[in-house]
Amino acid sequence: MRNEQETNRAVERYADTVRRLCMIHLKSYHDTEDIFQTVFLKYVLSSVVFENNEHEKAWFIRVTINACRDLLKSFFRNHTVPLEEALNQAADLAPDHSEVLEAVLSLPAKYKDVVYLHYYEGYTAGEIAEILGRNVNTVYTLLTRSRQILREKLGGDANE
Amino acid sequence: MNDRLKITFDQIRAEEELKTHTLKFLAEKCYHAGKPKPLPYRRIMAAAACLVMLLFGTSSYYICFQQAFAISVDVNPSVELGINRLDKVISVEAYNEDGYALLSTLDIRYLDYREALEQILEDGNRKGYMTQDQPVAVTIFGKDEKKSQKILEDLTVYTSSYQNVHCGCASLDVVTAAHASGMSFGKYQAFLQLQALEPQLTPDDVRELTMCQIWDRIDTLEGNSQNHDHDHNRNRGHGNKHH
Repeated sequence: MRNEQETNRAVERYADTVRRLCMIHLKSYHDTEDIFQTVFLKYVLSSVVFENNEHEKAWFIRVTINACRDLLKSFFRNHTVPLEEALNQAADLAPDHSEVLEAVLSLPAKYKDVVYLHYYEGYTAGEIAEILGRNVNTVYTLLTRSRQILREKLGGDANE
Repeated sequence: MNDRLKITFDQIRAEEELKTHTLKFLAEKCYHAGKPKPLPYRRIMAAAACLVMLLFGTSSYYICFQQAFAISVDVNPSVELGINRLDKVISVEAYNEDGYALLSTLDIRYLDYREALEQILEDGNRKGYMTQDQPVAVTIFGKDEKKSQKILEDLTVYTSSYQNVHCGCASLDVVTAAHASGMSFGKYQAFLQLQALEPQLTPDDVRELTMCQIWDRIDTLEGNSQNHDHDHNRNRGHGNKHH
């Protein structure tokens, strides 16, 4: 089990990443709290030795995405996330940012992770494939398709 | 678009409250689990209730089913009544044939000892055991001497309406010796008196004799049969004799 100092450091370092992943998957703050507890509890109890910060960050991303999927798969939960409810979590965003976020949240679930990981975290298709446990070609396809959708919604060149 | 996405996601940050709650949760779950937990009051209360019930059951058993003292009655039927702390008869034992016959006809178990004694004496009256020539010995014995004395006083008053009834207290040692000889206490006392006059006498010699027969032999040996009524009253007692 990891000590309290390590845990405090991990929360400070990865809370924002976990929060963003929760934002694109979950509709309520309450669910986000559940995911936070699940992910960081796994971290505390995990005996995985991380080779470096990147390895650790990738672990957090993978665990958070899986935790969100598990939560959404649970029997009593609604599988779809109403856009308005999800946006309410980011009510403080400026109108331009709200528009971008709305466009991301409106993507089918399978595109959201790759968009976030590629456009925000800067992972390559290969790295995303490794994190998500998917085929690289599938990731390429998802990225291409999501780029088209976002371009349609937001305008401009998605490759900029 | 890349920049817009980046800037937008940059705006999303974990709330301080969220981080605090998470850290608090982890601290409680993982790091302060060794802290003394609040006492499980419900379990303690349940255990205490069980203990009280157990004590209540044990003490009830002790009060209701443990013999506190005994009363030996020798009319001719020789019987002993075991009495609990609530003055109820909890056991009856016969020491001769007449005693067995008496107990087969009387149901005195769980009666108050006064009522039980009354039934025995009434039965003796009906069967003609209780005459001027036939003294009745009622002996109380128990570990608690004070209680025995109190019962003795009680019974002395209670049996005063019957003729020739002698009440007394006895020590447990003598009673134990009587039981070892297979006799009730009253009969054993009579045997001891007779043995003093006939040293070669053994308990086997008198076991089948009636109380009346024993007293007759004593009277004969003492040679004062003409006044035996008085002698009965004087000699045939059991320690603290009350008449």
